[in-house]
Formats: sequence, structure tokens, C-alpha cells
Amino acid sequence: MQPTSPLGPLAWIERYCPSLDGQFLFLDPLRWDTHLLSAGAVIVLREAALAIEAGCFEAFRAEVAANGGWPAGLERLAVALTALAERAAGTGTEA
Amino acid sequence: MRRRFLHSAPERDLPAQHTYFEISDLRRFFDAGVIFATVWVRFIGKTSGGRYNEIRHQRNQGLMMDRIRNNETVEQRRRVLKGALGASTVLTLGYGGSAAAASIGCVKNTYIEETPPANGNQFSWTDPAAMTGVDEWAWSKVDVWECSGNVGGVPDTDFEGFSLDNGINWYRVPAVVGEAPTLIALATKKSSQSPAYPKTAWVLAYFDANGNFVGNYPAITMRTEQNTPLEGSCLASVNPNAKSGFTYGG
Repeated sequence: MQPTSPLGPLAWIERYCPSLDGQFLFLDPLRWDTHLLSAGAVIVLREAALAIEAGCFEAFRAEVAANGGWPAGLERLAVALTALAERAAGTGTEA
Repeated sequence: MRRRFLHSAPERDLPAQHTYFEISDLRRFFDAGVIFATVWVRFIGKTSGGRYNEIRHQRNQGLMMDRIRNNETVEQRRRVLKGALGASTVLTLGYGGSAAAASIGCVKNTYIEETPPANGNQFSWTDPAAMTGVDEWAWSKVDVWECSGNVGGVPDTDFEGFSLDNGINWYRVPAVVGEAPTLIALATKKSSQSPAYPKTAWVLAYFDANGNFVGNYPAITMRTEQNTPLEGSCLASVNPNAKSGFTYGG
């Protein structure tokens, strides 16, 4: 019953985005559904996680927009990672 | 507590152009998630495996972005990000990707890395959702009744108890938090109950390697890789159908 630190965005990717035959499986931390990602998508998600943990996710979104925008479906997953950071910071909304 | 947060965290609306490629239609052509995930992975790997494998190798070494961040310019990082964005694909497997989810191996990770409540702490009068910890272990709710049985060698002794098998066996709830419930011989639920009963308590649930429920504490006390408590996120990934019916917290 010892409290443990909740997973942050990067730790979530490490645990719930394993490699599978050249692709990657990602578990959405908000909706708990799974997604098959290319290596490029994982790189983007990892960069998003770094930005979230550094508190500069909005700047990262602007950077993505400046580089052609989000691939279909990926922004949703990146935004889902922000919930992990919010939970770690205790700023989430209780039910 | 974790589960409540995750479910209550606001979902953002996405711009209309950011739509998923839902493959639920394709899944109709496959009988099981195993076939489904395997076919997709093998198909995609066959068409672009070389390039992805090279990138994956670099990523798995933890080198690519770190090297860029440490030693190279912002412009180079921007180019890599742009390339990664261009090479990004997302296929939504939904909740049915059982094979995909199973490959995550979270049951094994849970067994190796996590520390669920132990011993008598696997029984709780406190609603797991209200526990102060941040874990989200799956608990089963039990009704506690006024019972009578042979307690400490004294027959027909009244005690508060719960059953995990529809009244065949009865466990006496511990008098002290952290002590283990005890199985009482020749016990029965009293036919006449005070208005305060049944009370509600929770016991930790155990699952096999595929996320199938196998039983509750204290009927199960030995934790193994094939027989372990699970957290909601793991259970949702390996066996989403089993997720309902439990209370999450810890």
C-alpha cells in the first residue's frame, strides 16, 4: 500500500510502447486503447514527452505546426501524455 | 486513485483533419486479435522494414535525439523532427488488439517491478478509490455479514465475516488493520442480521498471465508471475473484457 510515483510521459513510453517487429505498440494512457506506431511517430511522441516534462509542450506544438503539422492521430496521443504530467503534478480533475 | 484521475482527465477536441485510420472494419476479416496484429505488423514490416529497423536500432540505443540535443544544432534537430513527422503513421488497434497488448508484457512487468499490497493489507475496509496511494490495483468488493462459527475453539461464536464462494467458506475480518482474515470452521451467516449489515469491504484480486481473474485474497495468498494482482492499466491492455467489475486503487 506504499504510494509510488505515477509514471510520467517518458516513463509511460518506455513501459507501454514496446517494439514489435519494426513497429511500436503504444497504449493510450487516457483511453487505454492500443495503437501501432511507426518509428518516426515514436520519435515524435518521445520529443513531445520531453517537451511536456520540460513544461514547454505548447512550444513543441508550435514547432510541429511549423514543420508541417501533426500526422493523423498522433496529436491525440501526445495530448494524452499531458494527462500523465498533470497527474504527476496533482493538477488533474477528480471525478 | 490513478484510474479516477485518468478517467476524469479532460479529453481534448482535435481539429477535423486529425482523424484516425480506424481499422475496426478490417478486423472483421480476422477472427482474433492475434491474427489481426500479426498480419498488420508483418505487412508493414515487409514494406518498410529496413528503414524502420535502422531507425529503431538507433532509438533503442537511446542515441538519436540525445546526440542531436547534445552535440548538434537546432536546425539539425528541426530537420530530424520534420523527417520523423513525415515518417509517422498511427494505426488504431482499439481495445481488441489482444495480441498487441499482450506483447506489452505488463503482467510480467507488474510481477517483477511492482509492489502490490501485501499480507493483511490485501483486505481493506477503505474503498480503494479513496486510498491515498497512487496505484490502481484491482480489488473485489465483498459483503461483510454477521456470522457464527468456531472461533478459537469456541463453537457458535459470533463474528464479522465474508465469503468468497457464495457462503461455503467464511473468513473472519481482522480486528486490526494489516492482520490477515482467518478462515472459520463450521461457520454460517446468521439468519438474522442487524440493520448495519451487510457492510462493504474489499479484497485484492488475482489474475493469470492473460489477465483472467483467478480469485481473491485470502483464498489466494501466493503471488507468482502466473497469479498476480494487476493494475487497471495493465488489465485494460491484456484483457479489457475483464476490467469491469473491480474497484481500482491502492
